[in-house]
Amino acid sequence: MIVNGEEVTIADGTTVAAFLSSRGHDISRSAVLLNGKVVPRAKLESTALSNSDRMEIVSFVGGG
Amino acid sequence: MKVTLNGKTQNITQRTLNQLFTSLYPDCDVAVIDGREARGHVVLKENMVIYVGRSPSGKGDLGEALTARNPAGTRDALKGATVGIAGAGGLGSNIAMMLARAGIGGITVADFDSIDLSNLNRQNFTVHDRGHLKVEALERHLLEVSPSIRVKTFPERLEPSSIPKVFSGCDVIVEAFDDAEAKAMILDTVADRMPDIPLVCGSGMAGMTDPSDMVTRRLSDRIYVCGDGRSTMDEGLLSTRVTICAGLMANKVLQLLTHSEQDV
Repeated sequence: MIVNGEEVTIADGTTVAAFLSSRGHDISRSAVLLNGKVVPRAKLESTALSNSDRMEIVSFVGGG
Repeated sequence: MKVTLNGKTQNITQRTLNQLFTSLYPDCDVAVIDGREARGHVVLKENMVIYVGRSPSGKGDLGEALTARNPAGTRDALKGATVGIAGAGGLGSNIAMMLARAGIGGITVADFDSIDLSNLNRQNFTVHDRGHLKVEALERHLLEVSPSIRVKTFPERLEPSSIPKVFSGCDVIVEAFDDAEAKAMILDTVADRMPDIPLVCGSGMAGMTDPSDMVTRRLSDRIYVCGDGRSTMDEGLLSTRVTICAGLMANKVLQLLTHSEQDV
């Protein structure tokens, strides 16, 4: 699959939440878009990824 | 009665604004009384601070002078729009002022915080505002620029449960928090509960690098993120880059409201 523009191979059934933690992303500061749509936080654990997906992870930084 | 009229304290005999126009200012058609736009039938009272002037077309529209330099065809769409702003700090206070100067009709702003002297380096407040609620001071400053603007203030900490209610009726929502978790929280909430409302976020505006690293990114149909996406508060926050990010965000709001957005 494609994550932030880079090709990545994932194991079948990997969930968004599992992928995020394997990459060290802090879920509380991140937003995830799967094929152009935001994955609600409540569904990060139950949304499984497939190799045809395109995922965008936005990690917010503080300041404003 | 004694009033301050166009900066001069004086005694007048006129009892209504209309009488004032007719007898003293026949060329004028707009007025601001005690910081708000006023219409001709208003009854004048002791100690009022009154500014009287003339609108460019003579149609008595105060906002017309404010937006005289706007890009053609943008005025009505902006006047009819309300923008929700989550946070009234470095981003929110500056974005609100920019939108007011562009002639936005309404601003709904939420922030629980009060003004501290350490805010003055980048937020649109002055020493006179110290200790006041940010939303209240911001409302005053907005009315000083655009006396006909409608401002709704919510002096509270926004939560996923309150966001849909606070920003109901807004045409665009702006994420202007400083905390990274709060930024992610409002994106999640708006995408989930208010999916039809465009959201403009800010992420990464710290430090002093050349601001060409800050861009406007389109994340999805309705979600945009402005900033460098990288710099953290450890690098320090200055009005220069914070205001540039605020400008990117306010500009995206104006594009969205006038249907002139560019894909980025």
